[in-house]
Amino acid sequence: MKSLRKDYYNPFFSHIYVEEAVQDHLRTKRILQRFPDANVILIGHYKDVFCRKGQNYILQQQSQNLILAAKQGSLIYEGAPVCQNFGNENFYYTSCIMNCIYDCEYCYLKGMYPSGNIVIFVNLEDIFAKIRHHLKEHPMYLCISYDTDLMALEQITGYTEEWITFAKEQSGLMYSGTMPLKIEIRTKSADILFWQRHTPIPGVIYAITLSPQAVIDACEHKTPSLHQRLASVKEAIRRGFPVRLCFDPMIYCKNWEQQYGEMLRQVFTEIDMDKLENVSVGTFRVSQDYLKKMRKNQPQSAVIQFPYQNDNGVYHYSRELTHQMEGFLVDSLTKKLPKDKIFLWENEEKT
Amino acid sequence: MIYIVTALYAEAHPFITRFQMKKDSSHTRFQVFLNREANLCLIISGTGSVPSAAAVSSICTEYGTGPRDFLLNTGICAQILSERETPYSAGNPCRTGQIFLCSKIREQVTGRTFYPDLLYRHRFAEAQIITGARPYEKSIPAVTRTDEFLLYDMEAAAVYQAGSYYFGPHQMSFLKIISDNGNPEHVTSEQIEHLIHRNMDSIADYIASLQTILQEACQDELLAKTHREETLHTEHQPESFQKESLLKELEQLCDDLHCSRTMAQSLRQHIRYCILSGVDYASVLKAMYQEGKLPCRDKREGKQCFEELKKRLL
Repeated sequence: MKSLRKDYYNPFFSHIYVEEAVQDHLRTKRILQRFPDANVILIGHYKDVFCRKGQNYILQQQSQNLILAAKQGSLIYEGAPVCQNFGNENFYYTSCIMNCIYDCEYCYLKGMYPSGNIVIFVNLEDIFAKIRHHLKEHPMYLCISYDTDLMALEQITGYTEEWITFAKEQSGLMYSGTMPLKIEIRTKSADILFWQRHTPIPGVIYAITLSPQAVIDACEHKTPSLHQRLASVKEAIRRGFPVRLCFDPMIYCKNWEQQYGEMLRQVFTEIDMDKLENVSVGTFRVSQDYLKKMRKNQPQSAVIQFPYQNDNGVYHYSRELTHQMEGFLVDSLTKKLPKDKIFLWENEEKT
Repeated sequence: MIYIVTALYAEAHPFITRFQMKKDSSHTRFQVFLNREANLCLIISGTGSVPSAAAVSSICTEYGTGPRDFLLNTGICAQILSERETPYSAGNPCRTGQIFLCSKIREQVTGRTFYPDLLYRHRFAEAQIITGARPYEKSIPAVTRTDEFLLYDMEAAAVYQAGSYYFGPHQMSFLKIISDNGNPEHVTSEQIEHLIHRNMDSIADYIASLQTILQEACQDELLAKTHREETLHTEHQPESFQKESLLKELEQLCDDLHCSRTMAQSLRQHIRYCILSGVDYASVLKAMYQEGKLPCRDKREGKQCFEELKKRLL
């Protein structure tokens, strides 16, 4: 019998917590206008709500609320060792939104954050100012959609558009003929209209994550299907947007070879591989502290309960399985792409 | 179990009647009423922060509360009327007898603020509440008059703080009914009982929803567990690996592999993954026993055998 349980939950964003300091901020007002029926609760600091003890991340994801706040302290961070820099120096990331509307079981956010609610920092101008300051000294490769899926929240925030505008403004400043600011926007969203509403900007790369449909069904809840993502990629490429395909994280299942083989068959059929910026490949890996929390939060999740191997505080598949899975994908991709366009996470090396 | 905390007997009486609760006379320090079939337990704390925190702590320790329990603090409160409406105020004119679900609780003495989760649908208006140390009186300038619509009580912040030792913010709700706006001396027990009684249908509906949610959560867990056990039994598992003997068999397997503590943990994680992902680990084990690879003679052989087992499983 179908459960009626979901009917007991408040709809998404039924409550919006707003830091008093940003209640008059333009972005706060713009976001609130999209939710005229939401109950607005004024708060002192976002951590008063986001960092409460004993929260249930999984339950909160059933009825996510928004928290609008000002980002203070560090506004940009140096890239983490488990992330790829694609050969770029001065690799940074920033976190203007924390948490995601998608519900991927393997997502490290479930181990990193104490709450399933979404924090939107409205003071983008401070982050932009910090980046401008860095750009006076050196070019930057900046990932802006790590701790969220920025494009999936575009209807609510309009942040992707703001970042594109910002990147365009910086393009006048050149370092030895290279773009001063390269930004990566990682997403699983498949909003075809986005490509129709915007124009490609040099230095803004869209990194779209693809997974076999079986993995999407099992682990990537609330995300677009593989078919939808491919249709979106196709449209982006057709309109000249720089696209990176991310086969990362690869997720093990008993018939992974068949599943990933079928996914690649669809990719090669649908996508003009010559027009891709590049691709990234990497099997699932996560820090031990995050996995510990994720296992506690999701005791029924096979992908989380997989017996990963721990090396230096990072859980990953065994070396043998990693080589098999990544090797299979890289070998298949090599038939369609030059090797220098295929990036493997391991050792940050090109294949 | 849903634990209901009220400060006064007059607040509790409509619940005791409505849910046919019986007094648990084993408690001497606080009055406790139970309806075990309905999974309801009510405790009367007395007025103020210390009594209410003590009552919550007492009942939660006594009954050993857990993730499938809920704490509901209910009772009367005062209203602090705003001078004017703000864009974020509730906007409704306040009146005696109206019930509110608290979305924000401020402890007056410390200035600390607490936010119970508001995950579940309900039909109450929502409001913020200030918890003070003494009854709210208009004549006492103890509470700053603000532009916001606010409630005032003497327990909510303490119940939240004491409850936080046992419950998450998704397991606590605070329902308050306005009895006055700063003239508590005029509020009688009969009036309090009447105010609670007037709102009892909507409170009972909310409790019924919570009961169903908690029950479904338990059933979901049970179903998931049962499904795994059925899968084990009907599809993959020989008699020896049925539910009741799983732990025992795992223990035996650890012995047969001469597992170290780390190996045993890894083995359990492998089996857990196999169960969740539907891998027929029992057939693999059966084959290894039949091939004479299990049981192992010593630790060295055990290590080799464990490596082979892992390869066969994944």
